[in-house]
Amino acid sequence: MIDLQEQKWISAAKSGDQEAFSQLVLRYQKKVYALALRMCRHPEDAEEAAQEAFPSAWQGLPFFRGEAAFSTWLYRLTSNSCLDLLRRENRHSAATGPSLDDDELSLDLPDTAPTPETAAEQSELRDMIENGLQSLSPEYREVLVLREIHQLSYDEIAESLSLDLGTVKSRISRGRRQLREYLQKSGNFFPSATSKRMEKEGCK
Amino acid sequence: MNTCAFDATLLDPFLDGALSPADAEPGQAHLDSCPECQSYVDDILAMREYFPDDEDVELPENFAANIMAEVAKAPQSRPRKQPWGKLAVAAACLALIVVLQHVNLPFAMGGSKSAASIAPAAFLSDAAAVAESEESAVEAPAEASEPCFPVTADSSLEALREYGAGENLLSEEPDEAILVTATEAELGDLIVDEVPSDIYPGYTCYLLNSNEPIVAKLVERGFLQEVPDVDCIIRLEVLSE
Repeated sequence: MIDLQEQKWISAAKSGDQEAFSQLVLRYQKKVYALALRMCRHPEDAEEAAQEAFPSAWQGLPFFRGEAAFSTWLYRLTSNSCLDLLRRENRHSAATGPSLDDDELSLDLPDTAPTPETAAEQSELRDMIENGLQSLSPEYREVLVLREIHQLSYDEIAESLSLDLGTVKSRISRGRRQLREYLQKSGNFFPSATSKRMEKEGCK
Repeated sequence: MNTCAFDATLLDPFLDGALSPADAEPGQAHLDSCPECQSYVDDILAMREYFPDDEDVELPENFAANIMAEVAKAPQSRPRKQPWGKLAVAAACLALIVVLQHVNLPFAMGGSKSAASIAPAAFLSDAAAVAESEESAVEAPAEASEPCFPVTADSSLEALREYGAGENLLSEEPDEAILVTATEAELGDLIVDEVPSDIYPGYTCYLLNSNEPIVAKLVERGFLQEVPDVDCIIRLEVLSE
């Protein structure tokens, strides 16, 4: 669906309207930061990558022809910034092995009023996913983040990352299998997750 | 390790709703009878359940404000904005010289005014506009009415549009740029791989050397009469639809 308001902001920003661009920043800041956070893991790195991606978008807007959605173009810039940053500072090492650092991510729970025990369990499962994502190569991680968190279609991911569709399918499949293997090896994810899912479904 | 004979590469598109109903149906039938694939699907769904949400992240303090501060420091200057400014100055000087020649010619040749010298008033006006807008062009994106590369007396964008496709403005000056205007639709995929030198509201400019392959194609399609001399620069202006 075409968002007319967004189209107006884009058009105005292309002509140099910073106020219009700030509206685009407000709309996409969380998505861009979330993508950068999963790619880079550390909040300060994610902020740095986002601080590069948005000004890049601003400067590149006159070249943006609108053939892809603005969001997918922005994700591509973000992903490129993250990969550049990881390469530049050789921060891949941060992704090796599980590292449960509760301070690094502030993850609330979507379910309403969970008990402290449930919240702790869910938080632990999410941390396991986060750590599992960090165990993957950036190429696998980015497709899974775009698919599972940003819920882009395969075509949109291909557009965002300038990949062909076959590569996207292959990376999603391999990334998932590696993540699954990581979670299987790391212990209690699947029994806990399955029981939590059954509890939720039983409550419906 | 999945040892099932079912095409495992279909499982993920199946899970993501990326299969057509015709392809998804046998996948569903297979899942109902294959514990191994069912286990994989269950695990992926469990993982999905606990994937973090992008709304769950907590943004750093002043995140958007800091971004906009960076944006303010990085104005949308086009890659070749400065050369364009210099070109405008050079072109304005050239225009002035040509006007002076037009003014002097009748006296020098002792003849009557030629048809070509009818333009000076508009020409001077455009030249002055170019000179005056040179500073502001560096700071702000060009308006649609901003004078284009002044290779002719009538060099405003509106004037260029009137020339239309198939007409070019061959210069009498050997080092002058040759201007070609066309619409995106007329050029089709010809410019897909070309890097623009400047983009302005309403039109995009490409500076081409005469030995570039695209120039021969422009000749083939009638935008140019012939491939210009090696030293010639072709300024292709593509009007947005």
